[in-house]
Amino acid sequence: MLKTIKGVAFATYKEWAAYRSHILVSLFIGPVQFLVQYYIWSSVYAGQAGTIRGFNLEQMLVYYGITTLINYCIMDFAGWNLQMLIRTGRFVTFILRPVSHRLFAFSQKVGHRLLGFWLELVPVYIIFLLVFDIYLVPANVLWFLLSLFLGFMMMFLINYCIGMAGFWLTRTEGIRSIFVIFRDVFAGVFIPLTFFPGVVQNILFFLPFQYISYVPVRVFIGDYQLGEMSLELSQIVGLQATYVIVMLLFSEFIWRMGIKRFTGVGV
Amino acid sequence: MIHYLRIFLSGMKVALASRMAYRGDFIIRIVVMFFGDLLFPMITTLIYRAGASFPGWSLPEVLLIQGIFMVVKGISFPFFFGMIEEILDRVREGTFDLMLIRPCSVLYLSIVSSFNLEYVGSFLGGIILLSYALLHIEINITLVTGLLFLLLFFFSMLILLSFTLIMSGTLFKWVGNSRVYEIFDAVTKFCLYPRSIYSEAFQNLISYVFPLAMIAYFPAASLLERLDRGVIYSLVVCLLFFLISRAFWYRMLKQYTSAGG
Repeated sequence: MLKTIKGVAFATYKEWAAYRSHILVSLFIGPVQFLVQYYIWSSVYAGQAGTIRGFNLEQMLVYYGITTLINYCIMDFAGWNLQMLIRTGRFVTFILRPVSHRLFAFSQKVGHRLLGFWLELVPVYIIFLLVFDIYLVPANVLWFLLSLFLGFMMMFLINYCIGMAGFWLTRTEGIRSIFVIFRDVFAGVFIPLTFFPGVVQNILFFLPFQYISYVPVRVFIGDYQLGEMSLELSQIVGLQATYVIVMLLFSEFIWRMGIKRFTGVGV
Repeated sequence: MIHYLRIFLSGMKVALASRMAYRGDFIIRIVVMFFGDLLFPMITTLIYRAGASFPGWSLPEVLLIQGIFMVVKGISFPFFFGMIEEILDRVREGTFDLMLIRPCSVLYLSIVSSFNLEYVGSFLGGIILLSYALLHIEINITLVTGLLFLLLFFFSMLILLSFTLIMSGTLFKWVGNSRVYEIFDAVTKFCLYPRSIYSEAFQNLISYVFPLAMIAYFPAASLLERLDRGVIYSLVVCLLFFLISRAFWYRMLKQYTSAGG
């Protein structure tokens, strides 16, 4: 398995390295989006002393800074790729291979994000440090790395499940787009989840989305809070691992249902 | 003139027919536009619900800015924003050559062949937001204010067209880079909030260099009677910006090499 991951990841790394300029766009987009947040929250906190929903200005900027960087680590196109393969019929070639497509797609993600690490994460980290004076160091490195890996897995599995909708529907771009909006909102990408009403926070706690981004960010900061829940790092990371396993089983279930419906249309 | 109108109508017909081939997906995309654009008003509402605010701006006033942005997009994007996707695909596949041999302006043809009704979702969301905002703000709209708003609204569409020209122009050289959309989304986020939240230097930048403030802030400010004299300079900058972006588009077109053909 490791040999497969290494081989496919390396090939994907080389393939995407040819499109470096596409990835390097992030060096513009990331800081610009952060600049918007910088102005928004600086203005909001100018008229408000202390904390808002558990965050002071510095913590809020760290929240958006680390959310940006985490998204460079976990970003994923497995769902889009899978639905495209199913729609065009090219998925047939993957059925004939002695490697599961899920492992293949996961390995592609590893390669793609390794490239993203050098071309997106490291330069943007330096920009945050030098331009915005945002010093991003995790409260506990080990717990954070574990949580980040689980977030990486969760993002992949959720997107892969959405991609499998292609087994049932002809075009899934629309559904994917709606899903991406809700996924990012409920993962805390746009605003910390503590800003949502209490009832919504309690519901969000039981949904898998917070484990993509919100949990790794809170583990990075060093404390976890959502709704009425306030957990230790070990507890929330343990819960995150449980959700990843459940999601893995769920994706396997969907896979077995979906593959029966694949007819190779479009070949 | 009638020749151009006929081209426009037939372009619109073909574009609509191809979108309608997948009706379900088309409707879902309208819903996506609706929810996607309501995301930032939702975030603004959550900020205000938490007891915070943008100093000097009430929630309905900020929502007015964001509603205007959505309406401008909803009205203008169906007519020209699809040009980016059209050029992106055609340049990558090499089929843009077909546009060059037709007896019509290439720019005009690129615009009319990309008619896209999906942005009606943005328009609907914008109308809802505008209605909410206007119901909660005491605004005295006179004939002068109304005319001024319409003028600024027109310039707002002009700026969006200018950005579309710049983005689609880069695709002649920067083949297949779909991330131009992300660049647009990132840059236009500055339009969604009151200008006063930015530093003075940045306010000048978005008013008199890259006139992003014209997209939503200035039209909203005209209704709220918060306009300053700077808007006159900004109008001139908008015209210049449009002319430069148009020239840029044609300059980039010259660099088209039929790479995918």
